[in-house]
Amino acid sequence: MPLTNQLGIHLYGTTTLLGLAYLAGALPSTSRSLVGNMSQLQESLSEACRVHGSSAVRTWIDVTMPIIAKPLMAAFCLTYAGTLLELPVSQLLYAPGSEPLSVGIDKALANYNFGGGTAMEIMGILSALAVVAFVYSAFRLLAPVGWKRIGVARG
Amino acid sequence: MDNKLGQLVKVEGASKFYGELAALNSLNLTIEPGEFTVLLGPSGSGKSTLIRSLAGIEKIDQGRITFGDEVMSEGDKHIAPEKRNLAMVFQDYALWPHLTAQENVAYAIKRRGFSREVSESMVKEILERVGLGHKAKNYPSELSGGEQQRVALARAIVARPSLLLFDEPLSNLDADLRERLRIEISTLTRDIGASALYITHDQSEAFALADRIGVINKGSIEQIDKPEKIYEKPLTRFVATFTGVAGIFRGIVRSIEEKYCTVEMGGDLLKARHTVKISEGQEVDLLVRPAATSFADTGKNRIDCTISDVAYRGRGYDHAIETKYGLLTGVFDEVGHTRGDRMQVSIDQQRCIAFPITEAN
Repeated sequence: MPLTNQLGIHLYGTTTLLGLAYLAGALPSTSRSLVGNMSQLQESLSEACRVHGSSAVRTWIDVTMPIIAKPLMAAFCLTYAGTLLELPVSQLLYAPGSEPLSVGIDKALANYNFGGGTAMEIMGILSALAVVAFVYSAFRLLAPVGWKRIGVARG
Repeated sequence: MDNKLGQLVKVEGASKFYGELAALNSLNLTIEPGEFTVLLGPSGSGKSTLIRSLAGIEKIDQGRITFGDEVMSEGDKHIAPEKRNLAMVFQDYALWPHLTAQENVAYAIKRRGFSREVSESMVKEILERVGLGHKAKNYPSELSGGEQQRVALARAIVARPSLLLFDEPLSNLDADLRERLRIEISTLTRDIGASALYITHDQSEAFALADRIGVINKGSIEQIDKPEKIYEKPLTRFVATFTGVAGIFRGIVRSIEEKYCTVEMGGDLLKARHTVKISEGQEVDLLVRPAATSFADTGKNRIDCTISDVAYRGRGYDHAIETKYGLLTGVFDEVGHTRGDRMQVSIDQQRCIAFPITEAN
């Protein structure tokens, strides 16, 4: 990567480049999943916050973030689970000696180590489920009551 | 900024463009300290744009807005909404769904930097004042529309801002609730002495609330004055039409005496007032106020009519009547008449106003 090398940024063969590639791959779908929620935000909610004395940043923290907390959480879990076992970009850009899980599984299966490969797959899925469970449990336990009420239908 | 209540607000030559469309057109407005000003106008007249510009949510393209001696908006200068010491009540209530009624109100008082005890006491007091002390811990989704709007009102008033803005706050409420909340808005705002700007398209709401009414059309104010003056002496046809007209008759001016004129329509002569210059022989429209009409046998201004519709109003009946010169609505009588009855309607010359016909008419 001659241009970035000239600028003193050495990315090729590093995990940073792989991270950037994961970001680029996940952004479109993750953003798309949040578009619906963001477009339904009532503008008057943030306007009310501004006219009642809060700055733009404070408004984001106090009003916008609580309302989109659940969709953000869902988008994070979706992105994490999707990226954990991502293969094509991982194979192309992983740094030697730092194989992602998906590359490890692929190598094991390619070497007829079906037991090992399958075990790694199951561990990967279980870890994704564990992260999702942790995130939702943490939200349930730690988030203010008002945050949890948003989006819940009441009879 | 000082936290003095009821400050002078001036809008000078304010213009705001959305592409080719001028939402505000060199608009001028002054709100005296402690005055309750109502802007009355149809949808698209620019009243929401003006109130949002005062709030700092929108930037004007030309002109100036000042609060007291301080310039809020002019050229590149634009003071952010949170620094303008004002509050606003929105049409859709704009209550934050993740906060209780108490928390919604308490949020607005944070900027004053009071201690927790003082804030809690002020919040409690204002919620009691609007009749929602027992619902302080409810979330907005657990409150009715009227209750939500009362919380929004409490939130606007609790920090005692110098300017209160009301963006058609009663539009989403039913008729009975609207009247009750209107009274609360009027009394609470005047109790704290803040200057207020209220926008609405409902003329009865405007007349009930205002110290002064500004009638706005196509981005500029056509007339601003006390409600009585607006109603009795409209200076433009638009102002007369928008503040309540039972019907419009067309005729020719036969004579003029100072404030009055005699207008010929077919075989009838009607006496009316005029608030703008007219001349003999000129074709004019007579704008008849609902209060001008009656079925009484007295009065000189009488024309034949036929009852076309009757509506019961509780205290009496409103009639729609057909005359040779057009339809008149809102003709009140305590007794209901029958559809098809032929009668005579009397028109009070004081409440019948002649305007010249323009190209637009």
